[in-house]
Amino acid sequence: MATPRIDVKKVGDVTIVLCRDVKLNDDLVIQEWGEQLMELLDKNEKKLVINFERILFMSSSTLRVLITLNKKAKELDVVLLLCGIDDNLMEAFRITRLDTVFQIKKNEEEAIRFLTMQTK
Amino acid sequence: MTVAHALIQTVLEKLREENWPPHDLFSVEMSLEESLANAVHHGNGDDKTKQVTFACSLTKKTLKVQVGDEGLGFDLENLRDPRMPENVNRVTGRGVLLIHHFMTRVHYNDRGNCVFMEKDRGTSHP
Repeated sequence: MATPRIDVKKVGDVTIVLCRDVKLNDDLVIQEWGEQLMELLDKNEKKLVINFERILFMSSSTLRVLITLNKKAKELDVVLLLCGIDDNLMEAFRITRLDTVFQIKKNEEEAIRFLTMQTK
Repeated sequence: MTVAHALIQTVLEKLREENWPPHDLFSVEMSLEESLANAVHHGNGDDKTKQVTFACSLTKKTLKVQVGDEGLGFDLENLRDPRMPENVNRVTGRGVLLIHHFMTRVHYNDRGNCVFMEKDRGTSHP
């Protein structure tokens, strides 16, 4: 049975995902994490925020999962935001230009505010 | 923890003992993670009978690391640039870019199956 890699909560109609692991660099951990995120899309969640505030390190394999997730979110008309990415990891996003692919907010509050304003 | 991750942690622990700055530690961890993953997955094709070689040395100012595999090598010049608009949504291809960004100097052997990386202490700019 897979180890839970995420904690999920709802704030209004926004689904917030908090990643449990401090590092995402193990292939099995990343696979489980990715599968659990994909399951949220399958559950028809339309506004999804992935909060990385606990994560200190992630390998490029994690970026691969995020890109796949982002593509599926677009197909399903799901708004996907990332938030809480620390400065070191943001550097990796910037270098790879993935900061132009994903919508990234500073923190959970900013992400929720953005999604709430979208509804109005 | 995999053997590769244990190796990375051993290197990082040594850098911590020598009081290397936090961003240098992150830079080294990222580069070692990507180079070892590339050697295992792309170089050796996930063939567990093939070996990855690893060597490193540390002075007061510079960490030098060498990672090799048994693959046919790759041509850096022909590698897709993952930053290009047509590639930015591709799922793979970022490891080499990250290594070149986070390490001070990077070069390869002629065959392309061994990478030599150097990190000068205190040269990371977060």
